[in-house]
Amino acid sequence: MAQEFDRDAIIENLRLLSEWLSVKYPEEVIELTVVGGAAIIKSMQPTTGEMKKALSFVLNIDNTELRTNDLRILLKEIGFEFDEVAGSNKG
Amino acid sequence: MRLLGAIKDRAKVLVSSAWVTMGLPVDAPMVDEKKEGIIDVEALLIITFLLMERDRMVTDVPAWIIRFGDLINHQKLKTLVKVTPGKYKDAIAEKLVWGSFGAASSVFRKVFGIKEISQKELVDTIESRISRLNPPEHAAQSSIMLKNRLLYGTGFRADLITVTHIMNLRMSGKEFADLLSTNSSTVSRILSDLRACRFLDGNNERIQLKDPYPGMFLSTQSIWNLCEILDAEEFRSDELKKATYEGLNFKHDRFDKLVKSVL
Repeated sequence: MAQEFDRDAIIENLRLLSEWLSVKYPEEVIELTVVGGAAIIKSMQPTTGEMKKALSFVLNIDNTELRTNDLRILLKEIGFEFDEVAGSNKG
Repeated sequence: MRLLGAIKDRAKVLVSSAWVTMGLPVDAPMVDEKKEGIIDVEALLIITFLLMERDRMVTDVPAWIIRFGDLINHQKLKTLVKVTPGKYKDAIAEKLVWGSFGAASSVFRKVFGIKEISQKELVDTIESRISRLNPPEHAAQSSIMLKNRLLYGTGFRADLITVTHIMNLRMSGKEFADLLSTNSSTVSRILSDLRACRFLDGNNERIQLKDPYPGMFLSTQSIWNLCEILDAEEFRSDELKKATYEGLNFKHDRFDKLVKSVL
């Protein structure tokens, strides 16, 4: 069963990842897009704009009907409407 | 950072000792392969380049590369360069423009993309250094890998035979391939030959192993471990540092085990 992280734990893990990347790839600029399960996203208390970015990222990889339906359920669970987020202009 | 300095100093002393085994006249105690383990020639070159500063190594090592050129497995060297982590590969490329590496053979220069140099002053320095090296026939008395390359040619067959001098090796073809930085099909073909002539048994162990070696002193594994150790000391986070050290594998690497002992 997946472990649920609180906001501080998520931030700490991202900090560690960032430090690891800066030591391993010091010359490179790496942009991280964090996509996770409902528990992680809910804990991060994302804005509609952030959620739109996450949604675009996932759909760019897999935009099948099955994946889209999964995302509808997931977004609903954390208080967002898929069509509102997808259609939002907040980038 | 003080620890990083201590680690590099310790590693440089061990590298000097390994070079004495290879015939370089450096003021350091020789690594006795029978007691400390076998030294992989190409892994030693890469580790030397990683740690090298503007000191004697910049002229002594090119002299060795020129004198022992026929005993260097350039294919292995090329593979090792390819798989060395990017930032360390860049650091090596920056260092090899120093000194006299441009006087080495074209096949060596091609591996690292070094331009040829022909300045008389540098060539004279190299020639004077070459005259001070132990000749290959002497170095082969202390380095089993050099000896087997003189016996069987500079290829993976010689290196595989070298590794089988280690007692209780119990390695699969894939593990041999990883250790020698070659592909599994090459190793599989050689192992099959060596089993067919009853040099190895069905477990890839030597049938009559006299004077076994205890393991590898410095191998391709040593390169990855050293890069990991240097990275670990750059981490501010104790958690990352600890996880990196826990991930090291010293099975074929006495060198980094000794480097780590300064911590």
